[in-house]
Formats: sequence, structure tokens, C-alpha cells
Amino acid sequence: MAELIQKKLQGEVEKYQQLQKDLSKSMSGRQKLEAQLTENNIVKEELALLDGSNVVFKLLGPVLVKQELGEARATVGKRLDYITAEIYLGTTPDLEADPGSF
Amino acid sequence: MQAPSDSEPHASASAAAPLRAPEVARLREEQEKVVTNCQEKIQHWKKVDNDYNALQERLSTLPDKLSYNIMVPFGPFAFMPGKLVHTNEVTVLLGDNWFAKCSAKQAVGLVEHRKEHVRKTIDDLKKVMKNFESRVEFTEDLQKMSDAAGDIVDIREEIKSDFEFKAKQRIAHKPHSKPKTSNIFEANFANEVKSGDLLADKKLWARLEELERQEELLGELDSKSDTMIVNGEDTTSSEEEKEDQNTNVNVKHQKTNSLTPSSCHKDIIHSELLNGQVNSQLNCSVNGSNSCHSNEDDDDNSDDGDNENDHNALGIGDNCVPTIYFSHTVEPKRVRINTGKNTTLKFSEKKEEAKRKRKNSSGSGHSTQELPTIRTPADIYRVFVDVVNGEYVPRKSILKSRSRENSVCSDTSESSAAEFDDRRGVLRSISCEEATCSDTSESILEEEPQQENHQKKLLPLSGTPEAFSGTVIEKEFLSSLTPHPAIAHPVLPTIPERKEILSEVSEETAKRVSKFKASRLQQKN
Repeated sequence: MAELIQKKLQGEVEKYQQLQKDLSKSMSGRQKLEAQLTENNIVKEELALLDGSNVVFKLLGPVLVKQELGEARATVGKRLDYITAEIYLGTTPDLEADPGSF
Repeated sequence: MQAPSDSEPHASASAAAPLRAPEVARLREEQEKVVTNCQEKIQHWKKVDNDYNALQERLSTLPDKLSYNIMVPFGPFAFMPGKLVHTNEVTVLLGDNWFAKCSAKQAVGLVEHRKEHVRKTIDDLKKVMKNFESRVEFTEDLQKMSDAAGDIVDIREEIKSDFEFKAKQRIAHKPHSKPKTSNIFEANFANEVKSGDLLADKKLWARLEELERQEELLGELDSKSDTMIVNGEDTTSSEEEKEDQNTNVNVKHQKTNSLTPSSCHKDIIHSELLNGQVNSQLNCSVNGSNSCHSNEDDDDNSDDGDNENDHNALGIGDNCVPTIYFSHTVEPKRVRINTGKNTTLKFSEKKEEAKRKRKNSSGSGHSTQELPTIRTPADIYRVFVDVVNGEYVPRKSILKSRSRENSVCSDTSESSAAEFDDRRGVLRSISCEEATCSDTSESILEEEPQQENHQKKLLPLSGTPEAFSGTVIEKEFLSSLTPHPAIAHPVLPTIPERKEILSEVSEETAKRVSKFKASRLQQKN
């Protein structure tokens, strides 16, 4: 009888721990998303400050790729939308592979 | 962070100080942690801000010269002399792997924009810190108070959430809705009766138990005693206890006329009223030795009760040997207990058990079982029983005293209208005759219990021979009374002093005599 209870307790504890892990994962993912959100907001604002004479580059790996200002702005805007959607859904995207940045 | 710290004061079991010093200290610690954390962040952001300031400065001075001779860092340990050219072209990292080539001034603008952001962050952190500092202060005050442990007392109210409401102690019905649908049940009952078959006793018992449980759950026994619904399908539980007396009666008449009593088993069991009356029939058919316990309820029965009791006599005569379920409401009670076999097919099994116990203990268990079993007025009648000559005599209620019979009030007891009138007439006639017999009342009183016993013994004999139609004609009553002048008359309103004592007994005797005699007379006739 006691063993049964202990086993049950063990199971419950494990469940709880699993839940806690999931929670922490979600939390960290959410935090990253939030950080990206703020960052992209800043980028958007700074892009707005620039004018056409500036050349905009995008870093893809070791390469700085030239981008147009308008294109850059659009891209950043899309990325922002994507991030907000992700936050709203509550799901964490792949934290390592960031499709918008590469 | 607040949650664990807040729970601390409640969790601890230390009783001495109301504010529980260790928990308060812990709370304070947690709060201070938050404060320090905020301070660290603020410092970090301030550093960032300083860096940006320095950058701005550099950017402002950088375009002064076309090129600078500098020592370029080459790895971590080496430098190399070099030139800084294109001093106005600055590649700014915008964030998220985006770069922009700007002039120095544009870069300054960007930096300024970033500094704005940093300042905002610092302000937020400062607000949080301030908030937590105030909390810390409060906790410090708490601590001081708890340390002082003097006049300040923590006020707490424990909410007991384990207070459970019993299921449906009162049912609030909608204003215009009928709580019970008696008419419908009546029809069902009729149908059921026709299709009913003999049920095994055990089934009955099981059903009774189930109903009892349901009753308890719904707890409607006490609240609704006026209406009784006869449910022919055994589906209703609590409601069955509250049945229309009228409907029961009607149904019963149908039953008695058309079908064997056993068929009514199911349905009748549910009704309080019917139980006593019908069960007698049922018992008669099934066991042959059943008692009409339910007749205890007959005290409050409607007018038809007596008629139904008469029907009981019908069945009894056929099957039952020992006793006298005789039509009279009072008699069967006594008789019922005497026979004691299946005493209760009452609506509640507990009552049965109580009765059995009572029989076994021969009156000793009277007081102990009163409390638990009383749920309905009928229970009271069943429980409050006197022991006369070793036999159980149900206590007559004061409502049934002679005085009341002679009064204007009606429906004092199980009396049917006809019989009541008959009795009344008889009593009046007797009173006229016996007005002078008041002196003899005392002697008669002593005889009465004996008479009652005699009556008891006589009754079975009368029960067996023929079926009693249930109608008592006044003439017969009078004539029957004449041979036994002493029995019925002694207690009359003329003797108000002994009313209550004598009236019960005399009533019983009178009633007994009336029906018994009437049956005898009918036999003769």
C-alpha cells in the first residue's frame, strides 16, 4: 500500500518536474522573442532615420550583402509581424535557427 | 518572487508571535533581493548609456581629420601602425544583423535614438526598484511590530471551505411551476398496476432501500407531507414520499377493485400513506402474515382510509391467518405489532428495523430508536407506543380525544366522513343514554383495557369469516352497542376530566366495536 502511494507520488513528482521544464523552456523562448521584438523595433526606427544616401547591408554569415533601404524596411517589418504572431500564439520558434536573420 | 514570499507567513506553524518573525524576515529578504536585482540592472544600463555618450563624442570628433595615424590592434597582443580613413563613413549595426552605412552625423543621430531607448529602460527599472523598496520598508515595519510583540495583533479570519450544503434541503421552485405533477403519475400508476406482477420480497426490499437512500438525499420527507404522488414506475424516489393523498386513495380504489394487491407492490411502497394501507394487502397476498404497519399513518389519512382498511380485511381474510389487520386504523397498529412478522413494509426500512427491535426488546428499545427514525408525522405515531398488558398499544393523539370528536372540528383521525358521522351520532345518542352513567365510568375505565384485549382477540375471529365492506350503518352500531353497554359509553364528553385518558381507549373500543360488530351483524344478516 505504501509502495503504491510512493510510486504514485513519484509519478506525480516527475510530471511536475516535466511541467516545470516545459514552463522554463516556454519562458526562455518568450524572453528571446521579446528581445527580438524590441531589437527589430529599434532597427525599424533607425531605418526610418536613414535616407537614400546610406547603403544598407545585411549580414549573412561572413558576408555583408547590400540591401536597399526600402527592401530593408519591408523585411524588418515582416520580421516584426512574424515575431508578434509568434508571441501571440505562445509558441517558441527555433531559437537557434532564426529564419529572418539569415 | 512575491508568491513564495507571501505564502511564507501563512505556511508556518510557529504559533508564538502572530506575525511570525522568521517568515517576515524571509519576506524581507526576498524583497531585498528584488531590489538589488533592479539596482544591478540599472547600473548596467547606466554603463551602456555612458558608452553611448562616449561614442557620440568620438563620432563628433572623428570627421575633423581626413585620416588618423593609429596603432591598429592586431589580435589580443599586437598592434600595428595604420591609418584611419574615410572618417565620415560609419557602418552602423542597426540590430538583428542589419547594417547601414552612414555619415558620422547620421550615426550620432542613431546613437541618440538608442540612448533614448536605454533611458527608457533605466526609468522602468528605477520604478520597479522604488516599488520594492517601499515593500521592504513595510516588511521592516512588520518585523519591528512582531519583535515588539506587544499591542499589535494580526487579525485573521479563516474561511472554512468545507462547509457543505446538504443536498436540496429546500427546493426553490419557479413561481408558476408545479413542484409535483401528481396527475401524470396517477395515470402511470394505473397502467403500472395493470401490468404489475408479483414481485419477490427481496426486490421489494432492495427497492425500498434504494428509495430510502434517495429520500435521504433529497430530504423531502419533512418538507412536503401534504401531497403524495403515486408513481407506478418506481422511478421517482423522493417525490414518491410526498404523494397526493387523494391520488393514492383513488389509485388504491382502482387497484383494490381490479387487481390483486400484490400487483401494487412496487407502486404502493413508495407512498407513505399507501404503505400502511396497501402493504397490508400486499403482505397478505405475499406472505400471508403481513402487518398493516403503515396504518400508523392512517391517523392522518383521508376519509378513504377506513375504506381501504376495509379492503385490507378482504385480503386478510383470504390469506392471513393470525391477525387482525382489521379495517380500523388503530386496531391494525396493535395487531400489526403483535404479529410481528413482516411488520413494516413501510416506506422506510429503518422503521421496520425499529419495530423489530421494539418487538424483540418488548418495549425496551422504545426510547433509543425514537430519534433516528422519526421523519414524518407518521413516524411519531409509530414510535410513541405504549405497552399495555405486554402488547404494544399506539398512543392516541390528543387530537383523537372524544372531546374533539364531539366538537365541531372534522377529520380528527382516520375517520371517514361517513363513519365519523356515524360515530358522532352514536356518541351523541350514547351520551344521551349514558348521561346518567357518569358514575359508572370509573369502573368501566378499568374494564376498557380488558375489553380492548378481548376485542383484539375477538377481531381475528371476525376477520376470517367474511369480507367487510367497510360500511357501518348506524342502526347496527346502536344495536351492536346495546349488548355491550359498558364498553363504548363510559367515556363521554360529560366527563371532561378523564377525556384524554379515557377517550383514547374508549375510542378504540368504540371503533373496534363498531366495525367488528358491524361485520358480525353483516354476517348474521
